Amino acid sequence: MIELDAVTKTFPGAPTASVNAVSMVIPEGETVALIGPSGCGKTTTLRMINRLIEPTAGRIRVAGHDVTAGDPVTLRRTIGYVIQNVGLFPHMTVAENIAAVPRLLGWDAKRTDARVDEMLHLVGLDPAMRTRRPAALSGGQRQRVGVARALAADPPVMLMDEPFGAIDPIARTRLQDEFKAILRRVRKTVVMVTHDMEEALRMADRIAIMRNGELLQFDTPATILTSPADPFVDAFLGPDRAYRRLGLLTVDNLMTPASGTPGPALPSGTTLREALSTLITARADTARIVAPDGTVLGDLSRAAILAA
Amino acid sequence: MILLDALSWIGSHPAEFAAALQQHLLMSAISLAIGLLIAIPLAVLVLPSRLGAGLTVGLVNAVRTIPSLAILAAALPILGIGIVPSIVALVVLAVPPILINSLIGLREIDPDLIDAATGIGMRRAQILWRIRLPLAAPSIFGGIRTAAVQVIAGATLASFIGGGGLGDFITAGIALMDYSRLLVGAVPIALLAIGTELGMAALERRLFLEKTA
Amino acid sequence: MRWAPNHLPDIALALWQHLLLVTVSVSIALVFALIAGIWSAHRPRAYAAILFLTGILFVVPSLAMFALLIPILGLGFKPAIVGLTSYCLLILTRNVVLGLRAVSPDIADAALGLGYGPARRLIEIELPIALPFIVAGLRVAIVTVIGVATVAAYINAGGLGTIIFAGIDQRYPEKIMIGGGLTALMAITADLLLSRAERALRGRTA
Repeated sequence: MIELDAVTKTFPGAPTASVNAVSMVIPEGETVALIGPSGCGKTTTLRMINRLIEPTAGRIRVAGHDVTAGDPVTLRRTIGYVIQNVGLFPHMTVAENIAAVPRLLGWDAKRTDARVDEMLHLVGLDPAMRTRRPAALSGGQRQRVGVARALAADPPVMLMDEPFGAIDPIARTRLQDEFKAILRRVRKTVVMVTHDMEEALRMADRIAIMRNGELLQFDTPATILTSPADPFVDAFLGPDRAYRRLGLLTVDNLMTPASGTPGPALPSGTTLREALSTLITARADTARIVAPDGTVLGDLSRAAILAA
Repeated sequence: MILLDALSWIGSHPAEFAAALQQHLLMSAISLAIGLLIAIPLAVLVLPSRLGAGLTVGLVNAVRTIPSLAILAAALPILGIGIVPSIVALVVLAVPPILINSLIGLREIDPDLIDAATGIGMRRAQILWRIRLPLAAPSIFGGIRTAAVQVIAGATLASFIGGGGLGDFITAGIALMDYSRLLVGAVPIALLAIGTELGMAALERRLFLEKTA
Repeated sequence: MRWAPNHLPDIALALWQHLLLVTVSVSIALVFALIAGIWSAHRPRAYAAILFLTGILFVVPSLAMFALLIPILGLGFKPAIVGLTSYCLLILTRNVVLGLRAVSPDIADAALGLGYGPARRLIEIELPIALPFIVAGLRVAIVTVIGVATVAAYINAGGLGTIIFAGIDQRYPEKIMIGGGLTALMAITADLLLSRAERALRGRTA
């Protein structure tokens, strides 16, 4: 759906390319995280997709159209854009902010109004927020409005640049989960820049690891965690990558038929990471997996988790 | 053309021109000096009292809304015509910017510094001379700069109340419909004003920018 | 108070002329300031040059400025307007630039990324945010021009200065007070109205 074909960017006067012949294909409806150390070129790559930065070489295709040619302004109205500090327009109300792109596209007032309400509902904001100004909102609320604004014109593609960077860590996890659910519901193709590995693992279907302008690995989280492409990726994932991987799998993947062995009860859908933690705390070897109504679905042993 | 006519007029009336220029400069310098001597002590005086400072600033702002011409004209019935009423009026013009900038400069000083100075045993007078005034100096100088420009402009208008100065050539030029006479007054005044502004800006840079570097 | 009550029409005329002088000159200056400000807000060298030039125009005393213009424009309304306009170019241009520079880079980036073209971004995002600063500049400009415009009476441009000059020529203190007092009143009123407007605007975008 989004195709980067040997995309390169060399800034004038720079000795090396900031982005060096990066190629990747992002399937429709997937969320891809661009991650890497500072200066790796992830933000530059993102900003080339909506041509806030013009590529020096290579092509970018969205839904088959070459976006590197043509008018960048009209292109941007078809791509949702969310940045770290949101950039809400301070002189406009929440409703006017969300209505920004529809107005640019010439939607009529009724349609725009209905859409604003729809977006407020989608991002979990009270409709009474319509008339508030950005200065009166909390950081989390502002970020929600930012996402609503990006989605208002129903673009097929969303670009997000460290969207949760400015949110406090406690609210961040909750927002990440909520947004993951929202993005699932609206089924957009999303490219997200982040420096937080946890965030990438949590939110992305695929992760692209970059370094010094090169794309090192582009795979699903599980594959990256089990088979890092090179020593740098391995080090970047951190020494607890095995532990992280356990956070990706659930108890349902590994359970064996119930045998009546006693042990702590774990609800279906719990991650292996949590399951292991529970078993250690309870000093038990086996857990029983239960459905919401209480029926036992199966067993899970500590050994099985460690061997996963 | 008229500029050349103006220059030739100056050439043939050097004494008259020099006298007017001197009068203009004298008026300006004296007024500025007196203004300084009134405004800065006044600022220091009202600094500790919020009420006093508030009233003074209010009064000064009210005076500022009165046009310079009216202030010069107002000196007329009280002090008659000539250089004395002109200087008095110009002092009234010079005091507000210096006073307000001095107050702001003295106010903005970090209270922690004053606290530290008091703590090491400095007296109020010492704190004033060694800490407050030096730190407020850039702001005070900014006020003097503004006042200088105001005063030179005001001195131009002193011609209307018989104060002399380069403004006389402009009024004569208009009365006689003599364009070259107009320029004999206007061009030197413009150059004087621009020169003063540039000169004070340079002085400000030398005095203050190096200190903070 | 012997003269004023019997000459209200004359006073009214002077007041009207004065208002005209102020509004026309400030309006023209605002147009120039917007053009110059928008162009130089993100071009530091151009801005420095503009500040220098408008600074010179500001510093030249009003009577001298009018006198320089008389050979070209004659006496009356025209040289007065040109002189008064040049006088407030500095403050207005400076505040336009200050206001435009107050638009944070994030807002500018978001506007660009959402698909605002340069013209719409300027009109719908940047200028509204800059508005409180522009109004602050207008406030200072109007108050100062109200004062300076009194001198324009001497070059036959009319205004409240005519009353003041009559007071000087005729040794008539009442006229000096009326002329000076009304000018001050106009300045105070303008200042109050515009500071209210400025506060209201700042509250909107704070």
